[in-house]
Amino acid sequence: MQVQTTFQSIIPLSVATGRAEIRTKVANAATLLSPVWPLRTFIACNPLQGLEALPFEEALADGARLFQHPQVSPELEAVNLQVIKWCLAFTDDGQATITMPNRHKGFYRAWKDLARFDDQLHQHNRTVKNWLKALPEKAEDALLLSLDRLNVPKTNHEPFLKQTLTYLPGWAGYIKWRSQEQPASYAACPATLVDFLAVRLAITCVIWPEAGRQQPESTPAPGILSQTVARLEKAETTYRNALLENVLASTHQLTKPAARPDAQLVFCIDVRSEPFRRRLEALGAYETLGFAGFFGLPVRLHDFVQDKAHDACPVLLRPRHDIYEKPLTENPGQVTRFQRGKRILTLLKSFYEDLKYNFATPFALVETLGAACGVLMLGRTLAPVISVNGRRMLKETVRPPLLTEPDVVGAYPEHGIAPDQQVTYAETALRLMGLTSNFGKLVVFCGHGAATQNNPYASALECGACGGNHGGPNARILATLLNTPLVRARLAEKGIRIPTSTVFLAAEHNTTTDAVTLYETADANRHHLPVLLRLKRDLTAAQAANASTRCQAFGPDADGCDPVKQTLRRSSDWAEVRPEWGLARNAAFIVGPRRLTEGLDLEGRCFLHSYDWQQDTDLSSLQTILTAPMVVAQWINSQYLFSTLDPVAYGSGSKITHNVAGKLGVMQGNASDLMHGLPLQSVYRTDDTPYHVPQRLLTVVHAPRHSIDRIIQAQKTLQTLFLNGWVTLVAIDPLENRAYRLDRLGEWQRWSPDQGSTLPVRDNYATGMTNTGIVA
Amino acid sequence: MNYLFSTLFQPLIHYSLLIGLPLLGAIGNGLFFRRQPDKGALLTTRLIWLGWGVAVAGLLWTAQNPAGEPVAGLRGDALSWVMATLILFVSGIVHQFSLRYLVGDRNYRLYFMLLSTITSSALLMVLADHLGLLLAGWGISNLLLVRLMMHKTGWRAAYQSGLLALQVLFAGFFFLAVAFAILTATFGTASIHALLQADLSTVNPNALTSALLIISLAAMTQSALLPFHRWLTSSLNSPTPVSALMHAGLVNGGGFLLIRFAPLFLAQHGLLHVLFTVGVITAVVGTFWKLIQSDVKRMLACSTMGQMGFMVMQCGLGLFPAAVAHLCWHGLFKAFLFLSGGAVLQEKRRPIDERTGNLAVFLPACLGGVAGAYGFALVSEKPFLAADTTAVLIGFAFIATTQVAQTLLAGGRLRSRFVPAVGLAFVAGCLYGVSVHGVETLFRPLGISEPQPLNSLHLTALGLMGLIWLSMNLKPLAALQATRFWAYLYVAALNGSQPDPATTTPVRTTYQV
Repeated sequence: MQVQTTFQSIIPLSVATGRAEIRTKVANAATLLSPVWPLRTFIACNPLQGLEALPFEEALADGARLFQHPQVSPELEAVNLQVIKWCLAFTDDGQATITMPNRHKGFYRAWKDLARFDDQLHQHNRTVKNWLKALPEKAEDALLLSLDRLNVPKTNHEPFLKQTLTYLPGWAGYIKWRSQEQPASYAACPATLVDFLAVRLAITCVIWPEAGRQQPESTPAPGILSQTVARLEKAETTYRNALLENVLASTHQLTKPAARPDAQLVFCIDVRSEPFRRRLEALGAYETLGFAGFFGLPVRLHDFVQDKAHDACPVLLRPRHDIYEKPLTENPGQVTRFQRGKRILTLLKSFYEDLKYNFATPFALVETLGAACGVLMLGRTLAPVISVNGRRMLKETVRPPLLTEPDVVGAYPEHGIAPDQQVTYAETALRLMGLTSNFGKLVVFCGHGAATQNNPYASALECGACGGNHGGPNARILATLLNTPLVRARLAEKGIRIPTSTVFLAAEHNTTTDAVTLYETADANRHHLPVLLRLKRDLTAAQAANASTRCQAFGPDADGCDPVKQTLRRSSDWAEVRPEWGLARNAAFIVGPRRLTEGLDLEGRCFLHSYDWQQDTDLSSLQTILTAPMVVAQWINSQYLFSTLDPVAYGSGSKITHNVAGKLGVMQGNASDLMHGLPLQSVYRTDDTPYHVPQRLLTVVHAPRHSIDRIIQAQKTLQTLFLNGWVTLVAIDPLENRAYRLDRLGEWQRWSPDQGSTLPVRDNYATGMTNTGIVA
Repeated sequence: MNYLFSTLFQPLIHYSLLIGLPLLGAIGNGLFFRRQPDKGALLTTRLIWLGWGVAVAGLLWTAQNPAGEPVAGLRGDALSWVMATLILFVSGIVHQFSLRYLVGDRNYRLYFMLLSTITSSALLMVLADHLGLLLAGWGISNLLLVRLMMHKTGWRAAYQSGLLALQVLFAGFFFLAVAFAILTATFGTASIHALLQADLSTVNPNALTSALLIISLAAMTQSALLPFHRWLTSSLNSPTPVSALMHAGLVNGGGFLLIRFAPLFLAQHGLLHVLFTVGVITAVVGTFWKLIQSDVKRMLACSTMGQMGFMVMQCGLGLFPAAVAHLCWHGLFKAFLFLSGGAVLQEKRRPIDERTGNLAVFLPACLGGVAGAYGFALVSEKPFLAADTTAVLIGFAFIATTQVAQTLLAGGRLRSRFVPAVGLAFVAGCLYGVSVHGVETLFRPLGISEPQPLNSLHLTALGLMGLIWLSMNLKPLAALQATRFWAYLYVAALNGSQPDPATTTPVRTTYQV
């Protein structure tokens, strides 16, 4: 009963205020954590996002203390282990057949119902058992009770909670994501960080009652940190000098007169587009542009084939339109056949599921299917490409393929996009990419996706702008909008005159094999058949050319065979841990016309966003580019950076011992923290040699300095990123054709090729270090 | 040509090729490919596939020709060849898979050397006629397995997994050594062929019983039967292909051992009952644990536990060839699931509450089950209604095919689907029969299938399994789930299936690549 009295005493006069207070404290403590997205929609994110308000060097030091070198004690391990057990059981997103009871009550309540039976926790100690039984009903109250029992003074609540959250950054980060981003999708098993901490601290009270005493903070050796920063700066400076020199040497290309191209192809800003664009441009009268791969369309796509829906836009945005795919065929019989095939496939799958995830039936199932599994394994290991094709063909025999297209215009007002908004999206997109005149015969919007097998990280290779999905549908929507006569007419009123001879097409770039699928339309075939045929041929040629560079990048293990086959094998092989290099080696985000970088071999290390400063009189385009795509690029950049710097604390470790947990993430082996970040194989060539070059993002903007200044002054995010050293900003001032670097004080420093950077980089870095108090 | 064949099938040549090829790969890899580990691994992999070819030839040969006398302590009978084919097939797949999967790994070359050597020692184990050689093969294989589990040497949890496995498997090795010593002393020979032929009435029955009991203990450690299961459920720090090898290969060692000495076990009804009971308990517990797991690898490990229980249960029924069939087919199934474990994120499953049926569907489905069980019995040449232990297998066929019929019936109109459902259940039963029968045929010459008289123990076990299955399919489970008893049961199962704490990675930074 002593418990009860303490419980009473710490509740302030108003219980509600106390609860609200602790919720706020938890929320404040949680700003330190980066949300962890489930693997199905892998979103890159800076593991030190919560520390971005600090200068980079300080954040690095804090991160090292909090995440890289925590004080490990047996008690901490024992608590963590119990928390992992319950987090896994509760958050399970479709793995377990029989799930944890009472999940609808929320994490804390569901746990509380079971805690009294958990002998790993109470060890059959009657007092502890009774204490667990008497835990309050509300998570907030339980949290306050535990804090009190652990003797954490009220003033110290927030730092203590903060510290507690860092013990399992993966699981806590995942719960943060779940409660923040998708509470509605998980209404059947809601979990918040208050729940998480209430469970965690109640367990702590039992296993590690001394946890509340101030832990001596471990400080990492400052030498290592300063070495890391020096290494980063060296790589950054070398890269920056070489890039700027090349780009400045190309500025004369900007004034070349423009002829009407056969085709304009708009690719995603993704670094993987650049090498392909370069090769394609070399083959004909093609102009390429870079634009965020969701093509500016905040849509939620409803897939006809899979009966699933996904948000096809960056996580910074909320989808505003529901778009349904509809069958392209006029023949209703075809749809019926397709639906029937789909039902058969579903039925076959449910036979398997009902026998496998059941009692007493799996024994007969394995005996019946054993031989078939043997054949499947043999096929997948010895002939991966044939095996993947065979599987697809088999599936298509049962369920004939059905072509679909996003229904944009037809379905309004139930879903789809209203005519006025159609015009707005079309106009914004064209203006943002700077394509408002000189339209080619064909304009192809090229989304992208990846094709890999047996890869939990598959979505990390997909289009990040489409929320870890294929970008093809978005491209098709924009192409449809721009082919609509009404939209074109309205655009003409706004000064964007699209010639009637211009046809918009959509395509999808497979970044694993570099194959490009064109979504052909009757219009394009009718008006521009020769151009179209040539384009297709050139796309294949570009694929072959890019494949051989790709194979070289994979290193000596790529044997001498045909590069195209080689990349196809990587894409189809279930044993392949490096199907493609993804966005590894990414280094810079270049905002400007393609002319600025045309002809340069950027080695697939640059995000390229098309931009014409002269058209952007009100700076709205530049502001969007810097606050949306650039921020996403920075997330990606820091994800790769930190996963390389520390593949254990910030990355998810080696794929070879990965264990997919709860269908939402991976653990290492038997049980571990939810391993967020990229796997070792995505950023390392071997266990010891990195492939990715860790360096912070370099943003190069082709615009007058004073324009950029105006945007930075208005945008807090940009100030944080530029002035705290998370991103280096360089302006190529078109008025002077000179490069200027923004220093950490917000001053522009002229960059000149002979000296490299005029800014004494070392000194700046030294000041940064003195500020943090970590002097090397 | 004939000369060539008879030379090739000279047993000794055949045996040395089998055991020698993988070993040759390992040695060659160790000596000549220090700088080119990928080439060395490729060579070894090819040698394994070559070895598989040899094993298949042996299997075909043995299907027509009875096994001869032991040569140099080795003898290839049906069991040896089936096991050798399985081992080399799984090893071939695991080798080939690892070629890509482990690219860039620090211990690439060592890994492949271990993999080839363990293949070789496992082959020695299954081909051995001399008890000493079997013991050696057993011991070496387990030691190498432990080393493979510790692949990431800097990772404490992986080291601890290996250590735990070592403790349990060493106990098994010790049991086996003692049992073999007793057998040798009792029979006056160390040749398995000889002692299986011996007249049992002349040997000391107590010594024989204790030897077999100790062998059963060894089998239980190896096949992770309760209470020796923990090493298996804590083994998931191993690289994925090692898990595949383990679950399709060495875990089956227990089953192999029992089947190897089947003629002796068949004379010991009491022991068969012990095996049956241990098997049933492990099957029930393992399957239940599997159903509550939230990570794919532990789910597979618990499932293996359950399947091993079923295999030993079949041994306990006196139906050893059926156990071999289970061993082989489960091995392939599980290896496949481990290797494709990275794809589970993409696979979306129906939640269980959506599939619980009702009596109106269940009763007609039972008729399908009768048809399925009949098909199974028909094809696998078993009596449909018999008062011996084959009835238990028929019972499982009934349960599985009822489930098939129910799934079809639940998805549409009863009237139009009834006949197809019964037909489908019948076909499923036949397919199941074909699969089991194929293996059983090979084992006919060994005479190790002796159904035992049915007794209350068998019926209770079958009833228990059937009852749990029923409650999963009809609504009772949902009602049960709201009770305190269920909460207790759930936590007990969750805790029981947890890995040993030392083998986990509770603090992220203690993991090492």
